[in-house]
Amino acid sequence: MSTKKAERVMNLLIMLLAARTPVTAAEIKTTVPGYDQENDDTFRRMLERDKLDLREMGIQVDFAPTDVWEVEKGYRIVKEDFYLPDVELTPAETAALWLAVTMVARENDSVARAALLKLTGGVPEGQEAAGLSVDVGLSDPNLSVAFEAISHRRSVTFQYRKRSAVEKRTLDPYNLINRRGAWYLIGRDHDRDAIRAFRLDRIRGTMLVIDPGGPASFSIPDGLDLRHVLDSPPFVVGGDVFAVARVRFEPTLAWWVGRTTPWLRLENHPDGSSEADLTVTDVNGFIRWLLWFGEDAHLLSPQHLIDEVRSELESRLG
Amino acid sequence: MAESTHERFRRLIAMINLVQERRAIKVQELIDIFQVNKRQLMNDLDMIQMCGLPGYSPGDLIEVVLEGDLVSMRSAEYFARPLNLAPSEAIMLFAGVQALAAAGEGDTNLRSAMEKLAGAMGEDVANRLAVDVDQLEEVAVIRSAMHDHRQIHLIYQSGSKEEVTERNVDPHRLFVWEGIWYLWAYCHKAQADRVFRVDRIRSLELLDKTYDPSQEDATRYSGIDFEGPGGQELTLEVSPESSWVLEKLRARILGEAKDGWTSISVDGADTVWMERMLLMLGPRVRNVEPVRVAERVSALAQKILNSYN
Repeated sequence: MSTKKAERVMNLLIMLLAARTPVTAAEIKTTVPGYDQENDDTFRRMLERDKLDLREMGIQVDFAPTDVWEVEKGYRIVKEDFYLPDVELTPAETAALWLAVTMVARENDSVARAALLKLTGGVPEGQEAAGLSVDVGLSDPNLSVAFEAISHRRSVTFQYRKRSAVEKRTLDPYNLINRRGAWYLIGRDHDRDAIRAFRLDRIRGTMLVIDPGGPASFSIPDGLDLRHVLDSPPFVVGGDVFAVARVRFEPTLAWWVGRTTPWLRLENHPDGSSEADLTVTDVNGFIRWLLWFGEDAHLLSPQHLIDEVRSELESRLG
Repeated sequence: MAESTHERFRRLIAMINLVQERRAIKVQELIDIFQVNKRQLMNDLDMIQMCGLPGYSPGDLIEVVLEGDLVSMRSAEYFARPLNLAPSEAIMLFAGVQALAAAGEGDTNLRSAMEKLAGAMGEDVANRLAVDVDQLEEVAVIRSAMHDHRQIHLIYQSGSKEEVTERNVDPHRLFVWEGIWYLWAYCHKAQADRVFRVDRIRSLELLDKTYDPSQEDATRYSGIDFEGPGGQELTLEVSPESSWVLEKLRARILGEAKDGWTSISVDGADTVWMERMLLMLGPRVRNVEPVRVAERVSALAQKILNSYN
């Protein structure tokens, strides 16, 4: 942002903050330095762009009637959203939060510093998460867009890459979950009218918020178990049940499978091996998953599924 | 607009807020807090005094006073309270708190800080973001070993070679990558640094023997390759419908063939991990080099096939 533009946007922000009622576009044009010399079209474009910049910085500018007769509409900033609510943290709590953010912040900690500065009026010294770090991937710009859309209950639309195709999706976003280092956005998919999960890193370009300045466009139903969307095995993708597979894991791997595959109901045997029953709807997905364990997993039944596994293995003999 | 210019705008607001809160603040303290140089700070202060309430007369503009090494500001009541957290800041706080809790931080301060934050931001907002990191008992034990610089005795199942080993290590770093806990340590058996997956540690024991943490050189942790030894290069082609695998393999893309197959290079040619990955992919990959890797994969397929006879 050039200094000229920064000044203009800052003065716009201050005008909106100081105003008691929404401010019309005409008032902005004649008041804020930088807009006044422009013709109407250029001014509109500048104002839209500046509002977008403010929104990208987390500052929401609404469009609302200027009075009860609703003859004119104007711009305003909702003060409750703009200012940080009072959070009185003890020094020990501040230290704990600093440890937490430095653990995920990695090298560039300007966001971490800014957050702590707002909360505590200073930046703590030392007490960083020595030797401890968690890479949760905070750099995806769609993460902030999705988070805000969830907070304000606004639908989003985006281009989603699935296998080699790219599809347009429209979603009421409910939750963000970081699983195995990837961010998933979970919500109600409009076209399928069902709860679906989307990996943020498969979204092409920027996610668009539908009606960004408008009112909430949905509410999130209570009591939804959203995690189960991610917890289901990769080869159960809906559709008819192909088979119920019984799989045995060798002792070399059984303990590890138990640890890393929480959705499996394992029956443990005294020799260290374990067995589990799995519902299979996607045969190819299941076979890939099984082969991933190499010789440490063995399909016990049913025979028709064993035949499928055998023919897949034969195709790999080279 | 580039991110850094947004950062400047946010910094200006934070600065106006902080200076008013402290009434007067030293130039050097502003430089330290906002991590800018003196010239940038002076530019910021210049810009701030060009802004203010409509009318823009001297009484309306923000007044910046620089006396000696002290800065103060007046007439900016609208920035007397801090700006709300930006989404990126809230995400970092919520994610950090959950990650730290997974690291075994049963700290009551962390919990009460999070409760206050959730209270201020709205319970709902805080609950809409979750970071799932495995909660492993070993993590807290390793953290305490790191804290006291104590050696650890490990019984470890290797992922790159199918074997169980025992060794003594100096734990240096504990980190999560792709949701999985890793321990970076100096291994006395290998007499070199090694990276271990914490979930493959079958048992561990804190030893009384300590190590000297000053021997540790923090710079060596940048650009780590935690597939470890056996990380030889492998080239192959991946079919168009399997492009998802490129992320998983952390592949370097070399080019694209006419029929849409992608030619890539990856590390870890001789690991069990890679063997199983290729077995899983089967006909969706081709032209695997070195050829010995492809041969091992088909030998593995044969071995599993035999187990069904």
